[in-house]
Amino acid sequence: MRRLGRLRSSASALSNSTHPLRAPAPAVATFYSSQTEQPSPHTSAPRAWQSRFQTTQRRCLSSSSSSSANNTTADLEPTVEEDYVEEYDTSTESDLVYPREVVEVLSPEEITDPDYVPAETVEGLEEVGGLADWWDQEEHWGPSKQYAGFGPLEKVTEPTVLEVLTRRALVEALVIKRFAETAEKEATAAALKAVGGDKKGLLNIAAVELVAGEDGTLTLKDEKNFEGVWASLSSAEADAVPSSPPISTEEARKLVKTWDNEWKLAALRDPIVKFYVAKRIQRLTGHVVPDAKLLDINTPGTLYALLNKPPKPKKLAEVVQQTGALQDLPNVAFYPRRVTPVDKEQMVGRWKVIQRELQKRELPVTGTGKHSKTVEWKWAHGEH
Amino acid sequence: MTVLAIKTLVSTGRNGVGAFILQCKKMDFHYCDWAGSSKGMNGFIKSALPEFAAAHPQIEITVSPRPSKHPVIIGHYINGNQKSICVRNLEPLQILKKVELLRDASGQKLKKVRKPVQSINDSVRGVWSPYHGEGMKV
Repeated sequence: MRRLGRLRSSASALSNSTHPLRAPAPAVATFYSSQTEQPSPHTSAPRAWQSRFQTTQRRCLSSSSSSSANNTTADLEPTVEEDYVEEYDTSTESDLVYPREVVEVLSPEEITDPDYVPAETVEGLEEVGGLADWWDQEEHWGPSKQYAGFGPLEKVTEPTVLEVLTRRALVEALVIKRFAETAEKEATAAALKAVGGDKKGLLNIAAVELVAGEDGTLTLKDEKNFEGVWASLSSAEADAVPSSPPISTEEARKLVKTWDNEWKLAALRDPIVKFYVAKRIQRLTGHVVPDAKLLDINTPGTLYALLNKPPKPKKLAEVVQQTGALQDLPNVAFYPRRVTPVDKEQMVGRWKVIQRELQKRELPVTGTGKHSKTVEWKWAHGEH
Repeated sequence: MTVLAIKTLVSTGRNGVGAFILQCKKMDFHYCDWAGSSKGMNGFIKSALPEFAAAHPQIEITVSPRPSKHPVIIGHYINGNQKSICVRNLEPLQILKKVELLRDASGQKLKKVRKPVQSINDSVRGVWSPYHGEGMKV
C-alpha cells in the first residue's frame, strides 16, 4: 500500500540526475501522473483512511535495465518503455465495519459560542473515540469472517434425535454410493454437503425402510427410493448448517418407536459407504467419527452406540457416583471435594465453638487478618 | 464411638486365648484428579477399594481429593498414632500391598527386634533350679 517506487540502478539514477528535465525519473513521473491531486506534505486535510481500500491505485514498478556502465548512449535514454504500471482494484466488497472518519475539532480560539468554557482539568470530561479495541469487538467483523464449520457447532446428544439422524445418514450414504460413480462430481459434492433441511425432507428420508439384503448387508428395501433420495440430495443448495436439528425430541421418540431393530443388525462392510456415512454424520450431527473407528463399525447399531456414548467423566468422584460401588458400604465416606480443616472441625461439631471464641477475642475467623506477617517484613517493604 | 484399646489384658494374645482387635481403626485415601502420579491410586479406588472396604468393616475409610498433591494413604491406630504412606506412581496392586501393610501394623513406633522370639509371659513352669524338687540321685 505504500507508494514508493523501487530504487533505481546506479546507471539509471545517474542519467536522471544529469538530465533532470529531459529525462525525469520515470517511476516518479508515472506515479504522480496517475493521481488526480498531487499530494503535498503540507496538506493538513484529513483523509478518510478507509479510502485507501476503496480507491483504484496504481502501483509503479520500475524494472531498471541491467545495462552495463560501458553503454553510455543507452544510459542517457530514458527507460520508460521498461517501466510498467500494474493496476489493480482494491474496491472489493467487504463486510468489515470500519471506524468513522477522523473529525478535527476546532481550537478554543476558533470557537464562537459564547457559552463555551474551556475545561481546566481532565476530570469529569467525557472520553470520546479510541480505536484500541475496535477489532476486538465482534460486531465490527462481518459475517463472512465468522467461523463456519462443516457440522453444527454443538453436537446432537439427544439419543432419539441422534438415532433418527443416524438412520438418515445411512440412507443417504447408501444412495450416494450408488450414484457417485456415474454422476457428476458437483452433484456428489452437493449431496455430501447437503444440510439438514426442513422437517418434511428429514421425515421423508427417515421413513425409507432399511433392511438387510440377501448377503446380509444394509440396503434400501425399495429400489425406487434410491432415485427419490438422490434427486433431493443432488439438487440441495449450499446452505449454512442449522444450529439445531429440524426435529424435536418428542417427534423423534415417536418416529423411533415405529422402527424395529432389524436395520441396526444388518452388516455394514463397504468402507466407501462407511466414509460417506461418517461425512454425513459430521454434517448432520457434528460428531466426528475417527477413521480408525470405522474398522470397528460393522453394523448400524455399533455406529449408533459409538455416537451415543456418554461423555467420559472428568472426575473420579463422578465415576464412583456412577458405578455406585462405594455407596452401599457403611464404613466408607466419599467426599467429592477436598476436606478442609474447617470441614474436619464441623464434622465433630467444634467449629461453632471455635468461631465464637475467636470472635470474642476479636481475632479473624479465617485467614490471618492484620496479623499476617512479622513486623520486620513490614519494615522491609516500607509499610508502617 | 472410637475404638480404644482395652486397658485390661483381655486384648492381649495369650497363647490363642483372648479376643483379637485390629489395631488400625481408620484409613484416609487422598487422590488428585489431574496429576499423573495419582493414576494408580484412582484405579485402586475404582477397582480394589470396594472389595477391601467390604472385607474390613471394622476400619473406617474416608476418600477425598487433595488437588495438586501426590496420593497418600494415612492409617489411624487405636493407640492414637498414625502412619502415612505416599503411593505416588504406584500401580493398584502395589497400593493394595501398602494398604495391607497399614492394616497389619500395630501403630507402635518401629523397634529393633533383637531376639528371635518375643513373649510378654514368662513360662508357667518357672525357671529351672537344681536346688528345688526331689533332686536326682547320682
